[in-house]
Amino acid sequence: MGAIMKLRAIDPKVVYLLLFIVLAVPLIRPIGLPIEVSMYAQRFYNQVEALKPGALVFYSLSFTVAKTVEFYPQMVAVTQHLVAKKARIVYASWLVDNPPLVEKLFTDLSFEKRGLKYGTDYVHLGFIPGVATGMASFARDVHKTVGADYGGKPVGDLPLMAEAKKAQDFVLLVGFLSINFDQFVGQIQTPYKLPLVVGTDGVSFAGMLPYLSAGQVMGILNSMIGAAEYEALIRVTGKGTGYMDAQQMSHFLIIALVIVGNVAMIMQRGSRRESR
Amino acid sequence: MTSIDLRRDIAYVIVFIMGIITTVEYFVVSPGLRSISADVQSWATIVAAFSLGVGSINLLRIHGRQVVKRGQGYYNNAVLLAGMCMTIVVGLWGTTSHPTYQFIFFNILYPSDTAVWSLLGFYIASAAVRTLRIRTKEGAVLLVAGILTLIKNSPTMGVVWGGFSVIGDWLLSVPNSAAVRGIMICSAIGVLALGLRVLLRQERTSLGGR
Amino acid sequence: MIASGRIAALGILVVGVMLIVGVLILAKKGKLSPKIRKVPGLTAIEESIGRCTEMGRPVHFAVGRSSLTSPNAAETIAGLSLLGHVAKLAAQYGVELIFTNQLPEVQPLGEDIVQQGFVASGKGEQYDSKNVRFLSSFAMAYTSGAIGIMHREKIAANFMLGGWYAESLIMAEAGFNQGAIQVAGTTQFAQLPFFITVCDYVLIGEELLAAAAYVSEDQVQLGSLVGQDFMKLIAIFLVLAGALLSTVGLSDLARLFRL
Repeated sequence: MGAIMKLRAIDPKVVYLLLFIVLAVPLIRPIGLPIEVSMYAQRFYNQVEALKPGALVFYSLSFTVAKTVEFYPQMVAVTQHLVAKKARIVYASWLVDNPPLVEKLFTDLSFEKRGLKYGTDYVHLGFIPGVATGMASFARDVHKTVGADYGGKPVGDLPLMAEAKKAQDFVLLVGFLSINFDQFVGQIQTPYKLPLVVGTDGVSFAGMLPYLSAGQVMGILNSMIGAAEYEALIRVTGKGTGYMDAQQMSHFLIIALVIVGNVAMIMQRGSRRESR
Repeated sequence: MTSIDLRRDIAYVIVFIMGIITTVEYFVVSPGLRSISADVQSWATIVAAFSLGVGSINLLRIHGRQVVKRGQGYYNNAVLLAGMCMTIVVGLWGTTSHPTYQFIFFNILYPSDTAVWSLLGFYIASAAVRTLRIRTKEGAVLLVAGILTLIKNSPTMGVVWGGFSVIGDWLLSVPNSAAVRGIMICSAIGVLALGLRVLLRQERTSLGGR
Repeated sequence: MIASGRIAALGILVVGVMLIVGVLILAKKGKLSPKIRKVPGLTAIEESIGRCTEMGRPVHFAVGRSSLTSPNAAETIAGLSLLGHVAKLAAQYGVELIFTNQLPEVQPLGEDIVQQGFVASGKGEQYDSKNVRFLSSFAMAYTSGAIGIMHREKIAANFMLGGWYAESLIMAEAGFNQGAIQVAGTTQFAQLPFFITVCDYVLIGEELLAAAAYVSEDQVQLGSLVGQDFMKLIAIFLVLAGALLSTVGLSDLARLFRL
C-alpha cells in the first residue's frame, strides 16, 4: 500500500531527476530513433522546393533569445535548402535580439566559402522596429522603412535591394515567428496575398493551424520536431535530429509516469473499497 | 486648462487623425492617401525605435534609484546597470556585429535566458504528472488528449503505428482549431473595442490619463 | 474605390463600430445599466486575501508583459483594474501586497494604482513603494527575479492577471511549490492550458476583461463589453449559418466574405 501511495504522488524532485537522466543520456549517446515526416513540414518543404533559381525570398525572425534552441536548427535546415535552390534572400528581424542570430547563421553555414556574395545573393536588414506598424510600413515601401542594412550600408547601394522595394516583389515569405505572428499575417501576408511558410515553437504551433486550413500559411515547422523532419527531407543530419532522441525519450517518460500515477490512483481506490 | 491637459489634448488629436488616416487608407484606393499613410507609418516606426531609448532611460531611473537609496538587493540593480551600460557602449562603439558584442550576446544573454527557459521543461513534466488524472470526466478527456498529443509530437511513434499521426492530426485540425478560432474572433473583437475606446478618448489608462 | 478583397472586412468593421460606439454612447448617458455575472475567480480573489491574513503572509500580483502600446494592451489594462481592487482589499485586511512588474511604462501606473487602493481603504500611510517592484523588461530575467521574490517572501496567494506568454508556467509552478493559492487570467490561449492545470482558479479569455469591468464599475468598460457580446452573437450566427449552408453545398456566404 505504501508503494502505491508513493507512485500515486511522485515527489517532483524524483520527476526532475528522471527527466534529467532521459534528456542527458541520449544527448551524450544518441539512439537514432526513426523520424516520420509530418504533412506540415512536407508542405513547408514543397513550397521551398518549388522555388526557381534567383527567386526573391523574405526571411524574417520574431522570437525571444530563450527560444533559440527551438528555432535555430529550423533556420539552419531551411537556409541550407534555400541556398541550394539558389534563392536570393532578404533577412530581417522584428525583435531587437534576433539580428545576431542571423549573423551567426551566415558564419555557421559559411556563406562566404559557398561563394555567396553579400548585396547580390543576400542582404541583412537587421532589426525593424514598430512591430505591426513596422511590418505595414515595410510591406508598403521597403526602402523608406529601412534606410540602411545591419552593417549601416544604405540599402540603395545594394544591388539585390533594387528588386526588393515592396512586399509583392517577394515570391515567398519565410518566417521564424513566435510572438507577432498574428501581426505578420495581418500586415504582410493577407493584404498582399503572399505565400507564407512558418517555423515556430511548440507552444505556438497549435494556434497557427487555423491559418493553415484557411490557406494563409502554406506550411509549418513545429519546434525541434519540425527541424528534425526538415533535416530528414533535405537529407542532412543536424542539431534537430540530434535533439529529437532526447525530446522523445522525455515524452515517453512523462507518458509512463502519468500512466503509472493513474494506475496507482485506481488501485488505491479499489483497495479502499475492499477494506470497507 | 493646465499644460498637462493641453499636451494630452494635442496627443489625442494626433492619435485620432493618424488612426483615421491609416484605417481609411487600408480600405480605400487612393494614391494620395496611400502616400500620406506611408509617411505616417514610417514616422511611427521611427518613434517606436526611440521608445527603446526611452525604455533604457526608464531602466536607468528605476534601478538607479534603488542603487542610490541602497534598497533591498541594490547590488543586483548595480550589476544590471553595469551590464546595460557596458553593452550600450560596446554596441555604439563597435556596432552590434563587433566580436565583443557578439561575445556578450552569445556567452551571457543567450545562456542565462535559455537556462531559465529550460526550467519550463521540468515544470511541465511535474505539472503533467500531477494533474493529468482520471478524477472527473473532463479530467479523463484531458488525460487522453494530453497523451495523444505527446505521442503525436514523438515522430518515432508515427513509424510504429500510422494511426497515431492520423488521430493527432485530427485532434489538432478539428477540436483544437475550432477552439483557437473562437478565441481568435473574441480577441479580435476585443482589440477593435480597445482601439475604438482609445480613438474616442474613452480609455483612461492610455496617454497617462486616469 | 474600395480595395479588392477588403469589402467584407469593411462591412464587418462598420457594423462593429456602430454597435460598440452606440452602446458606449448609451452607457455614458446612463441609459444602459449593463449587468454582468460575477466571475467565479473574483470570489476566489477575496477568499485568497482572507487566507493571507490568517497565515500572515503576503500576496503577490503581476500583470504579465503585454505592452500598453500593443494590440493586447486590453489584458494589461484589465490586470491593472484588478490590481486596484486587490490593493483595496489587501489594505482592508492588513495584508502585504507585492506587485512585480516587467513593463517600464506600467511602473508609474502601478505605483499610483496601489497607492490609490490603500488610500481608498483609509490606510494610505501603510503604502510602501518598495513593494511595487520593476524587475526587468526581459521575460526570463523578470521570471527568475519574480520566482525568487515569491520564494523568499513566502507568499500565500499569487495573482497572475494580464498578458502572459512563455513565463506563465514557470511562475505558476513556482507559486504552486510555495503552496500559494493561485488565480490567473489571460487571453493568450497558448498559456491557458498551463494555468488551468496548475492554478486554482482561471479567468479564461474574456472573463479577465469582464472581471476588470465588474470591479471598476466603469460604465464605459461595461458598455464596451456589451457591444463586444453583441458582435460575438453576430459571429456565432454567421459561423452556424455558414457551416450549415456549406454542408448542403451552398457556399454563397463564404464567397461573400471573400469580397
